Amino acid sequence: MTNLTMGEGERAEARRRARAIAVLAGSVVCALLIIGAAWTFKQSPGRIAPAGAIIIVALYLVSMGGAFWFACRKSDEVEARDTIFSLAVAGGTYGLTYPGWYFLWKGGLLPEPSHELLYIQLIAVLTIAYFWKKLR
Amino acid sequence: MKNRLKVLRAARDWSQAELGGRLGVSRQAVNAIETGKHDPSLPLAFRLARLFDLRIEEIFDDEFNNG
Repeated sequence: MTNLTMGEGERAEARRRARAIAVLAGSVVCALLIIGAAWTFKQSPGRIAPAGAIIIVALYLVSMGGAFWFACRKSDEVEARDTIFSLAVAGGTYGLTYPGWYFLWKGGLLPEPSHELLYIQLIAVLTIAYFWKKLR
Repeated sequence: MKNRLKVLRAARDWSQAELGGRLGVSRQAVNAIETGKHDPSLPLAFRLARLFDLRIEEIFDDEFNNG
Protein backbone atom coordinates (compact mmCIF):
# COMPACT_ATOMS: atom_id res chain seq x y z
CA MET A 1 0.00 0.00 0.00
CA THR A 2 1.36 3.44 -0.88
CA ASN A 3 1.65 5.90 1.96
CA LEU A 4 0.69 9.34 0.65
CA THR A 5 2.65 11.09 3.42
CA MET A 6 5.86 9.55 2.08
CA GLY A 7 8.19 11.55 -0.13
CA GLU A 8 9.20 10.40 -3.60
CA GLY A 9 12.49 9.04 -2.31
CA GLU A 10 10.89 7.24 0.64
CA ARG A 11 8.45 5.47 -1.70
CA ALA A 12 11.35 4.36 -3.91
CA GLU A 13 13.26 3.14 -0.85
CA ALA A 14 10.16 1.30 0.42
CA ARG A 15 9.74 -0.45 -2.96
CA ARG A 16 13.42 -1.41 -2.99
CA ARG A 17 13.17 -2.75 0.58
CA ALA A 18 10.00 -4.72 -0.19
CA ARG A 19 11.69 -6.37 -3.20
CA ALA A 20 14.77 -7.20 -1.14
CA ILE A 21 12.66 -8.73 1.64
CA ALA A 22 10.65 -10.80 -0.87
CA VAL A 23 13.81 -12.20 -2.49
CA LEU A 24 15.45 -12.82 0.87
CA ALA A 25 12.35 -14.59 2.20
CA GLY A 26 12.15 -16.70 -0.96
CA SER A 27 15.81 -17.67 -0.66
CA VAL A 28 15.42 -18.57 3.02
CA VAL A 29 12.37 -20.72 2.27
CA CYS A 30 14.24 -22.52 -0.54
CA ALA A 31 17.32 -22.99 1.64
CA LEU A 32 15.18 -24.39 4.48
CA LEU A 33 13.40 -26.75 2.06
CA ILE A 34 16.76 -28.01 0.79
CA ILE A 35 18.22 -28.41 4.28
CA GLY A 36 15.04 -30.21 5.37
CA ALA A 37 15.19 -32.51 2.35
CA ALA A 38 18.89 -33.23 2.93
CA TRP A 39 18.23 -33.96 6.61
CA THR A 40 15.34 -36.29 5.74
CA PHE A 41 17.45 -38.20 3.21
CA LYS A 42 20.31 -38.44 5.70
CA GLN A 43 18.03 -40.01 8.30
CA SER A 44 16.72 -42.66 5.92
CA PRO A 45 18.96 -45.48 4.73
CA GLY A 46 19.82 -45.85 1.06
CA ARG A 47 20.36 -43.40 -1.73
CA ILE A 48 18.34 -40.52 -3.06
CA ALA A 49 16.32 -41.28 -6.17
CA PRO A 50 18.04 -39.71 -9.22
CA ALA A 51 14.96 -37.60 -9.96
CA GLY A 52 14.92 -36.37 -6.36
CA ALA A 53 18.59 -35.43 -6.56
CA ILE A 54 18.01 -33.53 -9.81
CA ILE A 55 15.03 -31.67 -8.33
CA ILE A 56 17.04 -30.68 -5.23
CA VAL A 57 20.00 -29.46 -7.29
CA ALA A 58 17.71 -27.57 -9.69
CA LEU A 59 15.88 -25.92 -6.79
CA TYR A 60 19.17 -25.00 -5.16
CA LEU A 61 20.66 -23.56 -8.35
CA VAL A 62 17.53 -21.57 -9.15
CA SER A 63 17.18 -20.13 -5.65
CA MET A 64 20.87 -19.31 -5.17
CA GLY A 65 21.31 -18.13 -8.76
CA GLY A 66 18.21 -15.94 -8.46
CA ALA A 67 19.37 -14.47 -5.17
CA PHE A 68 22.84 -13.80 -6.61
CA TRP A 69 21.40 -12.18 -9.72
CA PHE A 70 19.14 -10.00 -7.60
CA ALA A 71 22.01 -9.08 -5.29
CA CYS A 72 24.20 -8.04 -8.22
CA ARG A 73 21.45 -5.98 -9.86
CA LYS A 74 19.84 -4.33 -6.88
CA SER A 75 22.50 -4.00 -4.20
CA ASP A 76 23.98 -0.63 -3.49
CA GLU A 77 27.68 -0.17 -2.83
CA VAL A 78 27.43 -0.55 0.96
CA GLU A 79 25.54 -3.83 0.55
CA ALA A 80 28.13 -4.99 -2.00
CA ARG A 81 30.95 -4.07 0.38
CA ASP A 82 29.37 -6.09 3.22
CA THR A 83 28.72 -9.05 0.92
CA ILE A 84 32.26 -9.10 -0.49
CA PHE A 85 33.70 -8.87 3.02
CA SER A 86 31.57 -11.77 4.30
CA LEU A 87 32.36 -13.90 1.23
CA ALA A 88 36.08 -13.28 1.74
CA VAL A 89 35.90 -14.22 5.43
CA ALA A 90 33.82 -17.34 4.74
CA GLY A 91 36.01 -18.40 1.81
CA GLY A 92 39.15 -17.80 3.84
CA THR A 93 37.80 -19.81 6.76
CA TYR A 94 36.86 -22.68 4.45
CA GLY A 95 40.27 -22.51 2.76
CA LEU A 96 41.97 -22.87 6.14
CA THR A 97 39.60 -25.40 7.72
CA TYR A 98 39.29 -27.98 4.96
CA PRO A 99 43.02 -28.58 4.24
CA GLY A 100 43.75 -28.58 7.96
CA TRP A 101 41.06 -31.16 8.66
CA TYR A 102 42.07 -33.16 5.56
CA PHE A 103 45.71 -33.52 6.58
CA LEU A 104 44.83 -34.21 10.21
CA TRP A 105 42.52 -36.97 8.87
CA LYS A 106 45.31 -38.32 6.68
CA GLY A 107 47.54 -38.29 9.74
CA GLY A 108 45.02 -40.38 11.61
CA LEU A 109 44.21 -37.68 14.14
CA LEU A 110 40.66 -36.83 13.07
CA PRO A 111 37.78 -38.60 11.34
CA GLU A 112 37.25 -37.94 7.61
CA PRO A 113 36.15 -34.36 6.84
CA SER A 114 32.38 -34.01 6.90
CA HIS A 115 30.95 -32.31 3.82
CA GLU A 116 27.82 -31.31 5.71
CA LEU A 117 29.71 -29.76 8.62
CA LEU A 118 32.03 -27.85 6.30
CA TYR A 119 29.07 -26.49 4.34
CA ILE A 120 27.21 -25.51 7.51
CA GLN A 121 30.39 -23.83 8.78
CA LEU A 122 30.70 -21.90 5.50
CA ILE A 123 27.12 -20.63 5.70
CA ALA A 124 27.39 -19.84 9.43
CA VAL A 125 30.63 -17.86 9.02
CA LEU A 126 29.19 -16.08 5.97
CA THR A 127 26.10 -15.06 7.94
CA ILE A 128 28.00 -13.97 11.06
CA ALA A 129 30.57 -11.98 9.07
CA TYR A 130 27.82 -10.29 7.02
CA PHE A 131 25.80 -9.16 10.02
CA TRP A 132 28.92 -8.17 11.98
CA LYS A 133 29.98 -5.91 9.14
CA LYS A 134 26.47 -4.59 8.57
CA LEU A 135 25.47 -3.91 12.17
CA ARG A 136 28.68 -2.83 13.88
CA MET B 1 35.63 10.68 5.80
CA LYS B 2 33.79 13.55 7.49
CA ASN B 3 30.92 15.10 5.60
CA ARG B 4 28.00 17.53 5.87
CA LEU B 5 25.42 15.12 4.60
CA LYS B 6 23.34 15.03 7.76
CA VAL B 7 23.15 18.83 7.89
CA LEU B 8 22.29 19.11 4.20
CA ARG B 9 19.63 16.42 4.52
CA ALA B 10 18.12 18.05 7.61
CA ALA B 11 17.99 21.41 5.82
CA ARG B 12 15.69 19.82 3.24
CA ASP B 13 13.73 17.98 5.92
CA TRP B 14 14.49 14.64 4.28
CA SER B 15 14.68 11.36 6.12
CA GLN B 16 17.56 8.97 5.42
CA ALA B 17 15.09 6.81 3.48
CA GLU B 18 14.01 9.80 1.40
CA LEU B 19 17.60 10.67 0.52
CA GLY B 20 18.39 7.01 -0.14
CA GLY B 21 15.44 6.72 -2.51
CA ARG B 22 16.49 9.83 -4.41
CA LEU B 23 20.04 8.50 -4.72
CA GLY B 24 19.03 4.92 -5.52
CA VAL B 25 20.69 3.47 -2.43
CA SER B 26 19.32 2.04 0.82
CA ARG B 27 18.63 3.95 4.02
CA GLN B 28 21.43 1.94 5.60
CA ALA B 29 23.85 3.19 2.94
CA VAL B 30 22.92 6.81 3.70
CA ASN B 31 23.43 6.13 7.39
CA ALA B 32 26.83 4.51 6.76
CA ILE B 33 27.98 7.52 4.73
CA GLU B 34 26.65 10.05 7.26
CA THR B 35 28.40 8.35 10.15
CA GLY B 36 31.65 8.02 8.22
CA LYS B 37 31.54 4.22 8.16
CA HIS B 38 31.56 4.19 4.37
CA ASP B 39 33.22 6.50 1.87
CA PRO B 40 30.97 6.71 -1.18
CA SER B 41 32.20 5.80 -4.63
CA LEU B 42 32.95 8.64 -7.04
CA PRO B 43 29.69 8.10 -9.02
CA LEU B 44 27.65 8.22 -5.81
CA ALA B 45 29.53 11.30 -4.60
CA PHE B 46 28.70 13.01 -7.91
CA ARG B 47 25.03 12.03 -7.56
CA LEU B 48 25.03 13.54 -4.07
CA ALA B 49 26.67 16.71 -5.31
CA ARG B 50 24.14 17.07 -8.14
CA LEU B 51 21.23 16.42 -5.77
CA PHE B 52 22.33 19.14 -3.37
CA ASP B 53 23.60 21.39 -6.16
CA LEU B 54 27.03 21.59 -4.56
CA ARG B 55 30.55 20.52 -5.41
CA ILE B 56 31.83 17.26 -3.94
CA GLU B 57 34.39 19.05 -1.77
CA GLU B 58 31.60 21.18 -0.32
CA ILE B 59 29.97 18.02 1.02
CA PHE B 60 32.98 15.89 1.92
CA ASP B 61 35.94 17.00 3.99
CA ASP B 62 39.23 16.23 2.24
CA GLU B 63 41.13 15.31 5.40
CA PHE B 64 44.37 14.67 3.49
CA ASN B 65 44.35 18.21 2.16
CA ASN B 66 43.70 19.91 5.50
CA GLY B 67 46.98 19.16 7.19
